[in-house]
Amino acid sequence: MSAMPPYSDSLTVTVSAKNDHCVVRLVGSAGADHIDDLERQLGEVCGATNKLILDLSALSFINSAGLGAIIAAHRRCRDRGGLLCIAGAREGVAQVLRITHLDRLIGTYPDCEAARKALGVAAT
Amino acid sequence: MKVPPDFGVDDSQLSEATVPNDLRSAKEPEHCILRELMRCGYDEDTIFGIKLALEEALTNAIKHGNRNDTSKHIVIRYYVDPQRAVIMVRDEGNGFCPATVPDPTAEENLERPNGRGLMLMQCYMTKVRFNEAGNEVWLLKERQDRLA
Repeated sequence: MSAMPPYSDSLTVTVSAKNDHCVVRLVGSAGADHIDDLERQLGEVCGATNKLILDLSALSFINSAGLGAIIAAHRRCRDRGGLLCIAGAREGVAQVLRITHLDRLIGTYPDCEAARKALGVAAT
Repeated sequence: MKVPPDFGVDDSQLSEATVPNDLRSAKEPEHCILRELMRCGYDEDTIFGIKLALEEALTNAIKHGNRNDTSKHIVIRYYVDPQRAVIMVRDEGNGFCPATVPDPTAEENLERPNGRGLMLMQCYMTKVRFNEAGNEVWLLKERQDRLA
């Protein structure tokens, strides 16, 4: 039997700070075992900007713990007069957002460019 | 509680693992189940849904059932064949009543950080059953069953 799991359990978070917004790219799996780190990193970003794009184009899996971290970041951005958008979610992750109705709470866009237009920010 | 009779498998067919009450320890039986699903040729979408439901059940057992008590354990039983996957997760807690869990898709609950696990299990699995106490959940996924 192979020792390798069929899904990666790792999560990499990359933050790109722009002039007036931040792009946070999640790569891998946003499961419960990474939530403390994810919440901490999203909290730090939300402390520095109130316009945030979550790039989920390389996120292969999310569960309710991952959703909770995104909701917490959404609330922080909104409470500071800003906005959080989701960009590029793959079908599996997008389906979870639809089922839980979070696509009604948080704007979801096909890619970062569309999310930037929604936020009214430039790419640089 | 034995496997529900309408799940289509005999109790003696299930494998069993008992692990300490933490998410890291629960990864090993989770990986065994996922590898069985791959070996039986389940597609990516179905494996995604079963992984999601299983992780929700494990999280509920560890955090809510056993209240993160590291002296406690969780029991996982499972069976996978090309037609169905059956998974059971049991904790040592007092259980809960699933009917009392608020609807997480209600407007007033959308911003709650948690409370979506049960609904996700029910959406992605063919059948979800609890024992009377509410500390043991049985999940069935039939292969032909597609998410609407």
